[in-house]
Amino acid sequence: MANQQDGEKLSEKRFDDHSVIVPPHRLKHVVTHAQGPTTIDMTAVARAEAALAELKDEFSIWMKDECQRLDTARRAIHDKGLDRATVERLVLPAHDIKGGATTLGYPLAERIATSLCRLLHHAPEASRIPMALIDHHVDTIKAIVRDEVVSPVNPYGMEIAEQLSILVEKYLAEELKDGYAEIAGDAAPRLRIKTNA
Amino acid sequence: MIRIDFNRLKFLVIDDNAHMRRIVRQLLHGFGSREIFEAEDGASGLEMFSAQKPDIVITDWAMPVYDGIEFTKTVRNSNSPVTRFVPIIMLSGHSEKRSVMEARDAGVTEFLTKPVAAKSLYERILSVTLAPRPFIKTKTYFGPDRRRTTNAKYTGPERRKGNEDAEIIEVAPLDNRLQAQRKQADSSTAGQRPGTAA
Repeated sequence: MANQQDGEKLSEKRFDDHSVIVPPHRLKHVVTHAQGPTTIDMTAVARAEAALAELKDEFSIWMKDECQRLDTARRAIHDKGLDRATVERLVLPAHDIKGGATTLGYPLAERIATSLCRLLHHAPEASRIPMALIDHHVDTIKAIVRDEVVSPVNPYGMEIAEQLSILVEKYLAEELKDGYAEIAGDAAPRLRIKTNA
Repeated sequence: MIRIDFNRLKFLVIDDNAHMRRIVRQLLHGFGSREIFEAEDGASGLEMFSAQKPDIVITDWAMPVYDGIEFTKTVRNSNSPVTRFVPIIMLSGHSEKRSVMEARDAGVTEFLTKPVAAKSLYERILSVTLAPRPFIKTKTYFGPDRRRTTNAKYTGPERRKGNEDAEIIEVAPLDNRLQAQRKQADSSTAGQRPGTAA
């Protein structure tokens, strides 16, 4: 660990309802100033990007693994029915695809997974989520990966993503009623459903 | 140019997704880091944290059993004068404003939304190494100062009591802090933090 010792002093100023503590700046020794413009070290960034690019041949395999996890969780819902537990099992792989698909080269899969996560997170009653809506999301993500749709502007993929997002917003607006206003701001403005709230 | 000697930094990466751990590890390797430890959930992350004492933690949010928010709260509420101040960068697929606020209120130092990019990760690491924020302790919170700027004229309900004459600490955007750090290095003026206005 860089220059860490338990005995280092910290400064603490106490006020009426809080304290401001300035801990020792233990990591300052790892930062150095080199000659040249005041910028971040883009050569380090470029090295990291190149290192990540070395893994690219594996990305489609990883993405298929993620699709398998998603499909397994979806099948569990078909087998056991829609409830909070089975939906939660679907949330994790959906969330992982939302967070990782673009890095792995499938940006449209991220967009579909974002819509699916929004549906799963905000639906007030798990048992009432339309199974067909879940299936459409899962099947679209699988198709994107199967057909190697890596372009973020694939017209068919974009249209399906848009329509799924619209369906999700309509469903959430109907289910949440006045409560929809609280989450509407997280959706793209063109997708938001107008409510009386 | 500001450089980080990654070879002297020890990282702990916590994520239940092995692919994402590999991606983050690869990026850190590319930066030049060699000591990178991994854990697949918050609970094993805590064990690894205690055993390895990392300099910087990069954690996912959504993990089964014990998530990144619980991990962060546990670290911040520990009694160790060293480990409770460790920079925690939350790398999450959650992008909604309320999620960022929840992570902030748990005590994370920086929040980074997936998809992860090399430049944004580097910037977060630079931010926590170059000019760490002070910590705030209240009855209900312990963690990095959640206010990036302090408005001395603020009179709203969340105004902190008793620091009317306190130093105003403005944490400027990273680019500004880099400029300030450069000037500081050039003038060799000791004892003044970058981006800080009295």
